[in-house]
Amino acid sequence: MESTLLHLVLWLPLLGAIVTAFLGRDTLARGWALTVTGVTLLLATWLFIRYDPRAGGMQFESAAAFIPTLGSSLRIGVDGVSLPLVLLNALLTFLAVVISWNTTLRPRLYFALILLLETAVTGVFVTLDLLVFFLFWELELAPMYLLIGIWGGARREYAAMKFIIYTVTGSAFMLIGILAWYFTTGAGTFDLFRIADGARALPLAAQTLFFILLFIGFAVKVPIFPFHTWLPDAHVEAPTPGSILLAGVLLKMGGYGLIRLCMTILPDAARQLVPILVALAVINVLYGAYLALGQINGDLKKLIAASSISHMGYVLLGLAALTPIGIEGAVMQMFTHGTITALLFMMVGLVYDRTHTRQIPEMSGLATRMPFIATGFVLAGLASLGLPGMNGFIGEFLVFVGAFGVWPLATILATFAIVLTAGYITWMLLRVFMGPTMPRWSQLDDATPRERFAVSVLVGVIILVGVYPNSVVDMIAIGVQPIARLFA
Amino acid sequence: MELAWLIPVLPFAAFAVIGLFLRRQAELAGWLSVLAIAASCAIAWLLFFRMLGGAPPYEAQFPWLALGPDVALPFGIRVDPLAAVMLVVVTTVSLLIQIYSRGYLYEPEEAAEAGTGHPEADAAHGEAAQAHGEAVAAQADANERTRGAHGVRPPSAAEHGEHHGPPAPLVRDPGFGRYFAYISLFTASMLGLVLANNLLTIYLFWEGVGLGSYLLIGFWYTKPEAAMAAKKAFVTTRFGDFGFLIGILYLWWQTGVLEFGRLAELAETGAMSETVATIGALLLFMGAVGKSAQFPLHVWLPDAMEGPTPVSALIHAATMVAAGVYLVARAFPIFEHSPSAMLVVAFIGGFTAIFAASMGLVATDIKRVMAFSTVSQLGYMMLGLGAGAIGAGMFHLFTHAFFKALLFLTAGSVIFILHRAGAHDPEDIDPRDPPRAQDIRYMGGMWKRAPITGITMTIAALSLAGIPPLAGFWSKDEVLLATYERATHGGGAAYWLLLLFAIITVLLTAFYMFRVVFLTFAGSYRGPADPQYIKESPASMTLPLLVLAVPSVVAGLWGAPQLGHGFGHFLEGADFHGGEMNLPLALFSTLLAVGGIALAWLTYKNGSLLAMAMNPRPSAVYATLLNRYWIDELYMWLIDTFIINWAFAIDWFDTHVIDGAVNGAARLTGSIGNSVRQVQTGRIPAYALAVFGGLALISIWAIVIRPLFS
Repeated sequence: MESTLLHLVLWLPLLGAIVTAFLGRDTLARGWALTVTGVTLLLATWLFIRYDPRAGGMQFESAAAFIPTLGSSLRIGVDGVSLPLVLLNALLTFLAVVISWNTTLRPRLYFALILLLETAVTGVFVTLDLLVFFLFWELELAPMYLLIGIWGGARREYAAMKFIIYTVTGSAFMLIGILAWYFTTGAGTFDLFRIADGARALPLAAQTLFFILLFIGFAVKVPIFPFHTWLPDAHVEAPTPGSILLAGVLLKMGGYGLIRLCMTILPDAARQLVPILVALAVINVLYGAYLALGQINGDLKKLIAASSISHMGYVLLGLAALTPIGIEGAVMQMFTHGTITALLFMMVGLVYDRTHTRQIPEMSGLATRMPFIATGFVLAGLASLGLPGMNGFIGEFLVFVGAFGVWPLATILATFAIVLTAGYITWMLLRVFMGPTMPRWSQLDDATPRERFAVSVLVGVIILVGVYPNSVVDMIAIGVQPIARLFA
Repeated sequence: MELAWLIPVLPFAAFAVIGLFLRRQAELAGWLSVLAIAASCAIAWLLFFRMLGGAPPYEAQFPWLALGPDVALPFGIRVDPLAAVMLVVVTTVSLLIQIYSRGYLYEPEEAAEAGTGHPEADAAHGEAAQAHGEAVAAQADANERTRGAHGVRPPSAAEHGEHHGPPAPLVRDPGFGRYFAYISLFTASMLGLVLANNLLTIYLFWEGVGLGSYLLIGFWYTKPEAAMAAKKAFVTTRFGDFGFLIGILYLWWQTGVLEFGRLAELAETGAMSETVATIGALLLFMGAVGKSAQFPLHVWLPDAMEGPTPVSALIHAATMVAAGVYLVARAFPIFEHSPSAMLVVAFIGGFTAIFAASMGLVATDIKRVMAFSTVSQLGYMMLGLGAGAIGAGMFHLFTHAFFKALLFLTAGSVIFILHRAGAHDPEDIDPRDPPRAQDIRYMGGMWKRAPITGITMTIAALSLAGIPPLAGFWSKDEVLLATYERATHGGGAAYWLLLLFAIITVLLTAFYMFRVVFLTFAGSYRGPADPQYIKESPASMTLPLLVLAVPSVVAGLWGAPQLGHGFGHFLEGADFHGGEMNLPLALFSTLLAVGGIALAWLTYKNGSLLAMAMNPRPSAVYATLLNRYWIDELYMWLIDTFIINWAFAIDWFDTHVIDGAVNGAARLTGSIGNSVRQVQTGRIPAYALAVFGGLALISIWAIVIRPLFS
């Protein structure tokens, strides 16, 4: 009975997507999508509440035959690592529908793709079978490719193509790694935990090789330097809801894969490669921050995209620390960054809808014309720079606590990013919202009630989790224990 | 004692309610904010008297941030004498300043219509003003234009009066509700900071205070200077917080605890090594240096004066900047465990005291003089702490909060009066100068017209200068005495040097403070407004002035040695061992203070010297002071060189090298695709060959290579 709930969260959006195709009128699509994602969000929230953090471990588990001859089954379940991400996905998809309410270009296809995307991403987070994992992973690419390619900005085709080629190349590495596991462990199964048992018995050299193969696949997604350049392009061209989902949950698939596959299955290899991972993490954090600062005379959306690179570096740093607190911080950082970056992209979208430009130097003093949007943007920025009382601080702080004892110098370097982040965020806010209002912006309107709702929900979550972190952290702290024990 | 939780919660609730519902209900927002802080203030005084009556410290905490199945970092509060003193200071000053703000946040109607905002908000605002300023500057004497040699344009009040007619009526600032939301948020954070019982909790509120300051400095956000000052304050203090955060991480990894009480135990019993204490203390001190605007992170505070004056009084004088001093006092056992950390604290403090005072000598913006004075006095507090006397440092914080708040509020009153009278005229302003409602060169003769403001400012200035028996005298004397004691008891040459710094600062302080008093109130009015409209501020503003004047006079008696060292005994309990007053030292510093006042009188009262003092001959020293030792310029250069240029370089690198490689690889693949397209011949046998070849490769993998690994 319990597992039905998880199945519903997983399949309901797909069902909704199929039904969308048969809806007679375009205008029905958005209402239908809102209903489906709303119900899914409620169910996911219910799942989140029903999960017993004290007991920990996989819950709501179930298994069904998928391709028995290959030893692949549809085994799903959630634990403290995946459940926050499932909830995040449900929340952001719902808000993405709210924010794209006025889409006029082929709305049925549009909303069907968003629903399809929701199932694909949830599937990645809940499946415990590597073949199914890979299928869901690939399933996510198509809708996002189309969302960028059809509803994107001026250079949408280039960006969509770059996105898909880059990630498919990454997944090719991943597929090789997964197949290699399948064949070398000889267990004749794609079951995550049984593969793990077999894989840990492999020679260290093989483990390291497989780790690197999968790591490249996930590194593209996270993204980790130097595989990050698809991200700014994809974001700049993607429509606002696309950016929200891309940065909010799709990047987390990479981090999740690192934890669930790389680290869980190949802990020895992880230990082996840690110095490199830590170095990459620090590069990501600082490089992303500098890159964001470098956009101060340029594109607002690219600045936010670059800040994502920086913040996802914290995830890698927490993981590479290989301490319980570090891994906990990494998972928490994925959750918090998902909410914050979604809000940031939402705010950028609201600004762009009104100004029709994203060039920072062309804006000034917008706060006088759109106080609500300015307030939302300031709050998102403060959360992003890790201000306590908002959830961004929790993730970063846990990562720092977890990493400092083992990698003090690297942690200090990464911590310096809090100064850089404060710099580019306050500078951006200054240039966009403060100062005298230019005459050309004197006719702009503030957010509509529908937009206010979407913004308020995210702000509410960001502050709630920031003030009462145990609402999420409790579950994660227990959830990472089995993984952390591999490194004890 | 459980009531202590309410102290920060009430203003925080006021912030939430105003922010969510009352932003446009200005009147209601103002009252709600004042009521909340009044209730907090009452509770704070209640707790204070209980502590005074000997109640034991109250401490409570709960697990806040889970680190694992059974471990969590705490959120907790602690009420002890140190916290109680701060609670009383913060709530009382905040209450008075909020009442004052209700009168202050008005502006002449035309300014409001022009959308330019308040007196301080309309300086050099808008393109028209800018262009006009340039035109004026172009006509002006070259000597007048160089920063460092301003001339006084022959003041002709009557002539200006003709232009103006009677001043416009006042209307409420459009951001009135927002203002009270911010100030409630700030006050709540500050009170949380004071109550925190561990490093994590204090850090949470520490940053909250930074946010409040950011919002309030940038309150008039359409004014570029204000927006930039807000950013500068935030980022500069964040640099200090970077050290603070690492300090928390470091101490936690070394000791596994965050509570001040337990850290103190570890330090006092020696379970914490001196090295750990030194590193930990210095990292925490980095945060304190940023927040308390100590050298070398002092640069943000003078610019922070772009905020409304009551904000300057509350945040940048009485409370927030004291947070750094408070942090050092809170973590004092760790500092005490490390003589080298103590020396650093003392040295930074002593140096900042004299360094900031020197810049105060030449500033012409009345608020900036106060700002430099604040930095300097915070240096005194740090010096007291660094000399080992927590009582002296905190005592000076306690008295300073009252007289410095009073100084700022009187300055605000002067600005308000002049602005209301029409001195804000933007057409007169060289954009590089302070607006003439704030420039002491364009004041004068206000003694008779604004007597309450004049008397209260004089009282505060006397207190700051350290004239007995006013509050500032007693606390400053304690700091000097502590430094002297440390110097004579093994502190070494460094503390003698610091004592010298501190004593010279006494002279400088008295001089620059009375330079302001005489230029503002003595002589005759030299500014552009019509003197007949210069009248005292409304009662909502003068009342807080009068109330604050009382502690500015008497607060010092609580800690006076002749009256039993009440403050020190309360704060330190059994640990306190205050000595007698060192009469020669006290006499000498008093003489210096009187001398400084006399010097200011001679320079700025006497007509023959006045002009010369206002038009100092350009000299290297003068220019250095006026340009604040070019430290801002140095920092800008460093930031440009190592941060901004790097950012642009990395942006270029990312586009052309990393992404260039990606696109290059794509092109390469494309051309390879073109050449291998010929493989796609359409002939079935060729495909079959490829399929079987592939199969063969896989088989080789499965049969030959795989066994090698297994």
